Amino acid sequence: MLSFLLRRLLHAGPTLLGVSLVAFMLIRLVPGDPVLLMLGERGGSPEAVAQLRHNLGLDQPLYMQYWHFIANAATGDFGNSVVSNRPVWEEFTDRFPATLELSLVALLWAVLLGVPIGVIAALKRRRWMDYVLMSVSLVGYSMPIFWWGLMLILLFSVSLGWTPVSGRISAAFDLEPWSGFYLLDTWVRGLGWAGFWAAVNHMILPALVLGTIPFAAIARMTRSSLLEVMREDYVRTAKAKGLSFFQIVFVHALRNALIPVVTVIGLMLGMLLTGAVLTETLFSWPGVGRWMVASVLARDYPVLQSGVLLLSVLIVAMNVLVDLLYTWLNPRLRGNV
Amino acid sequence: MKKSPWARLCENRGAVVSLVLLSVWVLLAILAPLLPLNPPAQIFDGEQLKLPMWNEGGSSRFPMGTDDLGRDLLSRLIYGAQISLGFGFLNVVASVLIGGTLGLTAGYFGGWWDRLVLRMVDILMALPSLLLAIVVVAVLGPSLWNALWAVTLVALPGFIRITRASVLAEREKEYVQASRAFGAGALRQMFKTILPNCMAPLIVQASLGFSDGILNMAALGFLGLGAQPPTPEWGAMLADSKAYMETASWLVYWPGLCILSVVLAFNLLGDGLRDAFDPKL
Repeated sequence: MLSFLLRRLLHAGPTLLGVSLVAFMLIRLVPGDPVLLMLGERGGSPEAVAQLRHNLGLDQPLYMQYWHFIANAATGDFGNSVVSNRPVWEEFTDRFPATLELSLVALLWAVLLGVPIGVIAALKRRRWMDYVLMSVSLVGYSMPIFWWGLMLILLFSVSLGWTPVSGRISAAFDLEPWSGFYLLDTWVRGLGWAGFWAAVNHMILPALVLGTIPFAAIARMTRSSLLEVMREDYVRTAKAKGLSFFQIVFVHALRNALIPVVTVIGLMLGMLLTGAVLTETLFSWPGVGRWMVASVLARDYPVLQSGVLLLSVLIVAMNVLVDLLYTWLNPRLRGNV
Repeated sequence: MKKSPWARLCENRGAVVSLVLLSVWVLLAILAPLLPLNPPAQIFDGEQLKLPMWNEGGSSRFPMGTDDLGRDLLSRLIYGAQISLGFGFLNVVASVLIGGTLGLTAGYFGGWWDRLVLRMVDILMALPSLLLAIVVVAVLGPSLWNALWAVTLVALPGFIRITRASVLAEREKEYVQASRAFGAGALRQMFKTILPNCMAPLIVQASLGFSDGILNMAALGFLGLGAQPPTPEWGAMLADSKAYMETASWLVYWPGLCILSVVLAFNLLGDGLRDAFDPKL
């Protein structure tokens, strides 16, 4: 197991180096002088331009710039935002809990609903129940979520007035973050039910939108995986032994059917953490996705360069974890590692 | 007798529905200039935010109403199909050509080239996909064509991996050995001998790639990084009408439904194709 982990980590190293090179080069491919572009809207004297160029290290040769970028990143220094002048790492850690909380809640409902629906569809295969459930998940899977979010806002916020449309909590609550998870912090800071409810209320629609595609993917995956497992020999053996249908499905088949589903869930989380761009933009959710889009629009190149790298580290780490989980869950693979 | 994949596809209700739906969209897109429609970019002064004709105050002159600038919504939706399907098609063609070639050569030659291609795939997959597209568009500048390159770049890893995996499965089979014995060169072996046997997963991937590409292009349009005004692209139309959501909800319903219907159709078709090629489930 340990050697497997080491091998995966060794493999991840060059990938992350490649990612850092791509992030580095992308920013430098921008036509025109990035310093002038960055100062564009803010203006600047020649001295200010020279100063910024020097601060960003852009007056050095490319290979030196790249070396500084990765050497500093390795020590946890990801540069400063041009817009806020704060360290990129601080800006990232400020926003990351918001994204993590939203992603976890989205994934939670996606799993809690997706797995049972997949199981029911598989057990009712080729019956109307299967068709209805699979149609629902196909629609969910095909959903342009930015439009789905607009429709939900139109219904729940505009027409019914049930939920707020933006932010994480009402302005009336002055919440000093503790963990950055508002569902938790409202309790820690003693805002009680009212505060907690406000946080939940702000969370419902974004989490519903963000979890839609994972829900659909999990339901489809669970169904096809369970159907495949039900044809395996050991299931036939279990049937021949005269076990009850319930025992066959829930004790023997489902456990194995869920192995690929678990890996999909793990990969989904990696995607959600970084891919909440649309949902966060739509609901003004102060997370990393919205931060990256804002940095693109503001041409905040240090943030883009380091932000892309940080998010990629997350994805790669998530993939390694999923691999480990997969081998741990699947005893047949343990011998090979 | 074994049925052909096409025959199996025609027995799949979902696939047939999707084929019909897609044919309608393709016909609408191609015939748009011949239909009696107002020009999609023409602004009718004094006709801003007209309701659809089935509402009170609507007129048959603008069957689905007009947007905030006074442009015909029906016409913009139909011309929007040209953009979504057209660029979705270009995205798939580019992905198949580039991703397919990379996957085919990587799987066939192996060695350092295979490792290089796989490393590129790893790097691309480690980058957050929509974010990568956004950064690429930010670098190239927001436009429909740049959005196409960005979305294609994001789609490549899937195509490379699928092609490579099926080439690896075929490469050592006897018919490939036989063609080598008959003196077939590398090019002939790759494209004439191996590739035709790798088509099934590639076709499925192409159908699913269509829906991913259309969704991603629309998302970029929605973020203002794809099609620029006055291009009638569905995602961009949604972004434009967001501000009028409460008063002119019809402007928000229809572009989204158009995107959903096309994406849904391609996903259904992809599912149907997979079952048709691989009928074990």
